[in-house]
Amino acid sequence: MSNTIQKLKDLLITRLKLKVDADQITEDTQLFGPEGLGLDSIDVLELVVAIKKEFGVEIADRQTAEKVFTSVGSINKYIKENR
Amino acid sequence: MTVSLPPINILPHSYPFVMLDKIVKLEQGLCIVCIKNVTINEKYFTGHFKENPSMPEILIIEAMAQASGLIIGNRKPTLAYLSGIKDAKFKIPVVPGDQLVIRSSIIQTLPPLYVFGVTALVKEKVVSEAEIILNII
Repeated sequence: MSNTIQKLKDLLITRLKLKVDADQITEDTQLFGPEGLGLDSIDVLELVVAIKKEFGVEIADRQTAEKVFTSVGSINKYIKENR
Repeated sequence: MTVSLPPINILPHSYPFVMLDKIVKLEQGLCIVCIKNVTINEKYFTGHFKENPSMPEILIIEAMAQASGLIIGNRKPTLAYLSGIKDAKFKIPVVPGDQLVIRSSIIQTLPPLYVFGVTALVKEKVVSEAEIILNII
């Protein structure tokens, strides 16, 4: 597992206070909906702030955010491409 | 860019819920400084607390939210709903006679949601700080 994925899991759990274990989250885990992590739009905003701080990657508009924030893997891909 | 300062009545709030007196600095879309002169006449001092009046901390947060909303919505009528409060700290009580200076700047935008870093000062000392999230429509 890449270092970025591990850091993303930590961010999700610590910043959003998710009550799941890191090993329950995979690259394919969906961020929204009852089948996924159940995030909301304010959680996304917090993740945007955290990702900028942690990885120096900016996500400034909602269209980009909607594409990036589907799964842990999609965030990882965006960070890799834009670092 | 510094713009001419709008009057405080640009706020959509009205009495008794205007928590600011004046805008003293505004950089459109970036940051703002507002003041609130805290007087013994404020209604809440009769109950908070009768013998030791201090400004309720939640109203300091409201003042922070109102000031932050003005960074975005100072040209046309705009409603800003408080969507989140993070890492709020209240270090020193604010009492009648204090002039509260609210400084807010944008940390992140993802319209309609915006994150602001806000500090409240009295006599240049930080009395309170928080991250405020607004939903501005």
